[in-house]
Amino acid sequence: MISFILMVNKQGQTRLSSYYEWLDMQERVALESEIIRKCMSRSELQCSFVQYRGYKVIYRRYASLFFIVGTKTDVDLRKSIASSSAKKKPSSSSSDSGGGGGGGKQGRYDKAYVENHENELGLLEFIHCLVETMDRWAGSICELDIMYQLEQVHFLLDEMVMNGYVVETNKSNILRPIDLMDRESKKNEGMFR
Amino acid sequence: MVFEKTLTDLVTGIRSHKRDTALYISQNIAEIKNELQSPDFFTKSNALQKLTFLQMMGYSIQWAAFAAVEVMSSPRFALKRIGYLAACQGLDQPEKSPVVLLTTNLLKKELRGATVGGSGENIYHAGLAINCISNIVTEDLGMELLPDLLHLLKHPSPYVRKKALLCLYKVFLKYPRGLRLSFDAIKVCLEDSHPSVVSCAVNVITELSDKNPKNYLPLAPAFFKLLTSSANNWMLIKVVKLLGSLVPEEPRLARKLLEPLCNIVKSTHAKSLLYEAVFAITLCLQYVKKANGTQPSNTPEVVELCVTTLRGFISDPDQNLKYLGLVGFGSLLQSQPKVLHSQSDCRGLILKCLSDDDITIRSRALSLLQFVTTQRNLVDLINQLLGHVEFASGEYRCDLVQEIIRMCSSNKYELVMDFAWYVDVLLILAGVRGVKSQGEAISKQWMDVAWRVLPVRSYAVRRSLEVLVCRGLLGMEGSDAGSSGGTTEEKDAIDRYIIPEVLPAAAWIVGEYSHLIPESLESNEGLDPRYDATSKGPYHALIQSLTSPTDAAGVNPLPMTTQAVFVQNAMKVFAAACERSHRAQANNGINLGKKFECTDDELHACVGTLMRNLVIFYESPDVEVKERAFTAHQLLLSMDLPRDLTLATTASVASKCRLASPMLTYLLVPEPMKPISAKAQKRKLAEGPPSPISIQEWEKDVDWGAFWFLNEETQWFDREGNAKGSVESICFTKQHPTTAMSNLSLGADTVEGSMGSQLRGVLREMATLDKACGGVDTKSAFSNLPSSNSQRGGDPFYLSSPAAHSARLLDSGVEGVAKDGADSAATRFGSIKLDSGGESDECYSGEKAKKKKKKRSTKAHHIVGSDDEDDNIINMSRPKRGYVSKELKNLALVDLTTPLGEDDVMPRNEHYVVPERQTEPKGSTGKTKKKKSSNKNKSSKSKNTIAVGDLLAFDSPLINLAGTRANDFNVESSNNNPINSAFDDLLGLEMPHPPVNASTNTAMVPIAEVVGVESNVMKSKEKKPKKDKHKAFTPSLARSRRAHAGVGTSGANSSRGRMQMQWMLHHDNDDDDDAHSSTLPSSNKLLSLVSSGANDGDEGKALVRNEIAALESAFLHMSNNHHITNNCVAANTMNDDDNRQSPSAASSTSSSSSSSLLSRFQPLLGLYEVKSVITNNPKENPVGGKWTRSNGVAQKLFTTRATFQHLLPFNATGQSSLQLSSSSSPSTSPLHLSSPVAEAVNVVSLDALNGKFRITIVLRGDATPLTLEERSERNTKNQSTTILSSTTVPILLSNLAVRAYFDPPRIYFGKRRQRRRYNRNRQGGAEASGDGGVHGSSSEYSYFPLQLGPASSVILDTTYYDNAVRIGLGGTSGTRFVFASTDKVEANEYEALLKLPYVKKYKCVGMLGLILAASLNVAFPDKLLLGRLCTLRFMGNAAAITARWSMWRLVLGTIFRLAGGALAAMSGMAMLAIIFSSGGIERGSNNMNSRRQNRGEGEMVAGKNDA
Repeated sequence: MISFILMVNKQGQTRLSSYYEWLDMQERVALESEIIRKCMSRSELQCSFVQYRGYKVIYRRYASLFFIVGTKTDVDLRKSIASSSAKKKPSSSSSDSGGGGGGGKQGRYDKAYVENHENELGLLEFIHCLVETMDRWAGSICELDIMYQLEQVHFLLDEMVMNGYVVETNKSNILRPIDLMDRESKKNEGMFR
Repeated sequence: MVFEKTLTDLVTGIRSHKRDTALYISQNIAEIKNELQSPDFFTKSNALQKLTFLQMMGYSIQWAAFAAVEVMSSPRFALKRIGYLAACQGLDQPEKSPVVLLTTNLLKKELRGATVGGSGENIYHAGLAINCISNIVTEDLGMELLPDLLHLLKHPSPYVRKKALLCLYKVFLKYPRGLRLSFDAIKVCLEDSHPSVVSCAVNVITELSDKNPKNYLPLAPAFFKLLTSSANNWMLIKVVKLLGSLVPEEPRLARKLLEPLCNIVKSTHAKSLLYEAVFAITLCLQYVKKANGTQPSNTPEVVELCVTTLRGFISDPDQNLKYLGLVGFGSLLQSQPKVLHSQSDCRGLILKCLSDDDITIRSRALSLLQFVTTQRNLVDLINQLLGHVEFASGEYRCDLVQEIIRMCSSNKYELVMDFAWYVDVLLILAGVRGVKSQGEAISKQWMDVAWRVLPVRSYAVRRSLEVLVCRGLLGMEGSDAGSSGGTTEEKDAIDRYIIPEVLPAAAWIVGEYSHLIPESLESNEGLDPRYDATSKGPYHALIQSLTSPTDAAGVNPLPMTTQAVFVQNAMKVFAAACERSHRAQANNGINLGKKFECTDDELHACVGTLMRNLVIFYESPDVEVKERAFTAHQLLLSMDLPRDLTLATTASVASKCRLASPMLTYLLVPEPMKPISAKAQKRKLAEGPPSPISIQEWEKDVDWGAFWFLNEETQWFDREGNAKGSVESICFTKQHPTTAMSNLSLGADTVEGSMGSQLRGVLREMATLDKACGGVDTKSAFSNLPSSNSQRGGDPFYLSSPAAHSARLLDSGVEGVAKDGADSAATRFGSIKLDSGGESDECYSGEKAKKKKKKRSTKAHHIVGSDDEDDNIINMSRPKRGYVSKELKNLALVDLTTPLGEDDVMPRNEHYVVPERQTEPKGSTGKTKKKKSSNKNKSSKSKNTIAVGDLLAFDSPLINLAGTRANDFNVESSNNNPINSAFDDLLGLEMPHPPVNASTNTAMVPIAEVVGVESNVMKSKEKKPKKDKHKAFTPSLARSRRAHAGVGTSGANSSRGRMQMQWMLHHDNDDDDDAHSSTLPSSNKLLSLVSSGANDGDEGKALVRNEIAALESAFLHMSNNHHITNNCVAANTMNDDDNRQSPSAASSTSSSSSSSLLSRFQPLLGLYEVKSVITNNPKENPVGGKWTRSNGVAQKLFTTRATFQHLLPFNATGQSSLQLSSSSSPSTSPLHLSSPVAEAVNVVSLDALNGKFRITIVLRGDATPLTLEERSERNTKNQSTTILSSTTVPILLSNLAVRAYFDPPRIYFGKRRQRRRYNRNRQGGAEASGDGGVHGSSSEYSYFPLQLGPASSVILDTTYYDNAVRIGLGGTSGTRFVFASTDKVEANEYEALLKLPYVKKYKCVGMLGLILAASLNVAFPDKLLLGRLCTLRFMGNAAAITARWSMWRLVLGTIFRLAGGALAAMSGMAMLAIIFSSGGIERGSNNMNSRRQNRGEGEMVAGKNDA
């Protein structure tokens, strides 16, 4: 599942953050700043995947804005399952080599399994889809659009991702409720102010 | 309100305050805090919006959580959205957050709102709520909302379905039990017609199957179908992933999947799906092996396909693909490790990745390296990697080192051809800074190579020696600066850094193979040992290095474990030196042709260094180091060496050393370890331990008699063996009896005789005599080398000395007991070795277990079975294995494969059902009544008690139990309290009565109910001081307050309270003193809210709305429970006649209509005052229509005096049947499908001029229940009509919904009766109506009744009722009405009014027409023919004639005309008004579906409803 989505500008200022698992405020701030630093220190030539503190971070840069998606899986759980299954059938090969060969193998297996938990390319596509959707919504989206209409962007995001899963990728499906809401709330706007 | 900063202002502000952003923000937060206090929702939501922005910037906004919840309850979507967003983003951890509980009802309401179907806006409301739930769900919340969420899975809109579905996963995380209950519903969603829903279902199941895949195996066919048929890439990715996770559970699936996956690989254009499919194939490949060990025939093909695809990825210029390609290969190689060997181009690509810019890619490629390496390219590769190591940094450097070691060591060093090279590599690695974490691995490898690979051993010794000596020089530099005449090379070597973790390994190698020292030096001619001038030779240099005082107590001392190893090995080296010298002498000084002989000088220097330095070591704070140093020192002394070496000649010292050499060798130099094949080792293990020591022997309990001293009371133990102090304070530490050179035990032999078994003796001895022999006992040199004991214990490659050898030693050991002195010491040491003889493994583990046992037993002092021990170990080690968060674990534990049991039911909120009580005989009823009236105060007091008791039971989460508990309480209290027991009769007596005349003062209590109850207690206390009783109640009150606090959220409470209240209110009728003492807590709160005027502002409205919602949801559950309804209804009817004081009760109603309907609506009857109206649209004015519209004419002239809506038994006024039959409105009568169940009378009374004028508008109608079809039709229509309105929740009609057909409104113009005549004012000029007077009974007024306007009908629902309050719901507008039952005098005015004969519309119009004609005549005397003929014209003429001659003529004429014109105009207008008037009804037609009607629906009929 997606653990968080961040939009960060080149100066490292968060422009939007949405967390799908609960994190302490200090943790959030620390996490954001470190991930942002990591992402920004990477060049265009490097791949878009970073691993950090158990998160697999997928990011993409559009103009001056970084879109960062963090995913995580329940590593601990997997490990315990893997080790319990390993316990069931003691492998004959792990005990006879003097080095860390056997243990290493097991560790790598876990890693590979865990790492593929979310499809990286899929998430990159998702980011692109998000950007396109926002583009269509705000004309040509820019950082200021996001800042000043934070709430709408959140809503848009909520339409696309729910509790960490991609719900909808059809642009018009995403935008329909938003337009509807906007129209409706504007209609009522005049009454009290 | 316009002056607050908006979000835009804030953002702009922050941007313009770049320097002092923090200050600016803190100012703003202060402002926001103020704004949150505002009652205005807009201000609040604006503030929240700003907070959300600040939250994103890293400011905690948990303190605003309550405000967020408030805004969430706003009816306007735009505001609500802000509230929800803030809640999702900023709430504290749900479990900790106090406000999450508060949202329960709100969320529930939103969810229910979406259940109606259609695609109205409410689905977006529900969407918001669902989204919020997934963020804030807790276990309780999940339990509460699960049924509603499941219900939404069947919602017609896919929008809602998919959201609900995804939300379920989060709910399951917190509330795993729910999974079992609802999994069927999720499965259904897999077949949903809408692809996005299916995709979400797949998402959820994928995630779930991660926790426990085997639950989802049965779904595999369904997914397989999706896999082959679906075209949605997003979903396919998930499906593939899911199937991949199922494969390990069901290998057959793997074979089946290969083909479709390959098809996808071949056909898809989406790289992500392509990758996913390839990855899944690689997973499958690990499991495709058939039971007979063969691979399916298409495997090579598939593998080839994978390789091609992945190679494509790696060679792609896109870094992302490159990365994924490497990951994919990693997975593929798990099952096909050899695949790369035939793919040389692939290998090249991977190697290229190794020098990629991107570290992520590099480390990926690194992990693949081991599959790429072959014997031929290993050296090359490693050399490259060593180059990388230099430039790498941080984590990656460690990874590199680790990988190098792994590559070389894999598969028993199968790739390494030259071990000398490998030793060098290891040394290079040991010199790399920043890879400390790998130090252990390096030293392990080094030792491993040294002892396994014979040919390279001497080389290893030599390198170790170099390392140590160089280090030693480094250490001594301080003392001997300048004395070393080293070359630059030497200096380089000295400067070399060595990871400290490697030092013990070097020391061990040197010590263990010290006999190889000369050989190693010789065979590598080129390398001179670089020891300095102070050393006499290699041995001395080594010993100097190993016992360097700076290591022990220098600025930077070595770790204690290393020191211990050093001391031990220094001795070994010394022994080797002696032996060397000894052998040289044995050969009579003949030079063996070796270059490096041990001279006397060197021996002397060695002894000197040892004697000097060991003393320093045995000052060490570490026990291990101290003991070893001490033992070593004593050993030297026992060789008869003089304490002061300067006194002895070099030769004598050397000769003594030589003399002691055999013993030293025997003691210190172990039997060399020899590798044996794994097979041989296995055989050995299978044979079991050699007799006579059988496994059984080992398992036998130890004879604890040996521990006699444990029964003594000592400093640490009392007689029972319980530890007084810490057991650890006794030194049992670090005993490793079976290491090859271990030296246990003197005492083994002493105890031996009595024990019979030598091994057991050894064990005991270890325990008992440890202290005694501690000084002599030399501990294992290896105990701290990670690889030593454990390695040997567990490593099948090693056997220690052959059994025969052991046997010999055993004998000597036994004999040795008798001897003393140094010789005996030697044999003693040997005795253990023998035990460890043939079966090191078994011995080792067995002893270990026993030792543990012993340790434990010292504490508990009883025998513990070894089975327990095992369990214990497992238990202890389990938590270490990895922390699994509780919730995930729980979810993993859910087993979906077993069918649902009976106890697996959906959590339901049910309400406490008042248990049926047996009716007592009538006689006793009378008696108790009497008793009660005589004890008014008493009974009122006990009423309190019972109310409290009930509240207490509210706390109980188990609703079923609550019933019995309430009973218990009554019983209990009756036992304790005579007053209560008196009242208890009443309890048994009867069930709730219709509350018609219930004293409604209660409703007016302006403060919250708790205060009310409490103050009441105080009051009665004053009246009748029975202090002790009251005291007893006080704690209960405190608790009841708590219960009330939860009222807003917990619907269950209120409804149960309601039941309790019904009968209580009934009794209130009898003793009116304390009528307000006990009221239903929740409705009371509502009333107090309403009557305190709180409902004026937005905030107040929200409070009221929440309150209503709470009551309603409680009631909803309640009404689903037929027992309850029937119960109270039955009771109602039973007591109907007796208790009804109301005028309406006169006619018996039950006969006129179907009894079941009647009984359903019966409890609603009564006189009610409209207390509050909550509309969804602020512009609506459902009560009183135009009469009360705030911007209407009527309200400017009049003030509203009261509005009522009475519900009377059918035809209570005697007018309904008449009306029904005579009604001229075509729209009403045909629609009366079902018979009326009640009569509704709406009264709006307006006053003007301080009561001089009064208008009372009465709308009388008959209420007929809606049929089921009507209701559902209505529900659907509501759905569609509310699409764009801001209604939060569609209206769902209950079975209490009625359609009320109202007669045309009757308007009574009244004025205070001063002159006794009817004032015939026109109704059009309302201002001209009668005059009024003091507020008083209606009889003081004279009225002009007029029936105006059309007949009308409305749909009304009752969402809640009890004795004091009834909540109505407009059937189309969703308006909520709060009615309080009332006994005001005014409430009964309607009776008299209704009896007045009224003027029908046409009469009135006719009258006005006449007036109009007449006045027109006057106004235009010349123009109207009619005018000329009529009297009035004549009068006008007469007036004109009389005035003819004066000036007055003109004036009078004009006045007359004007007056006539005015009159004409007025009457004309009035006529028009009457003709077209709706009588205040705002709606033009009866068309239920029009939006207009929707808005005005309730009209004057304040929501009337109900039957």
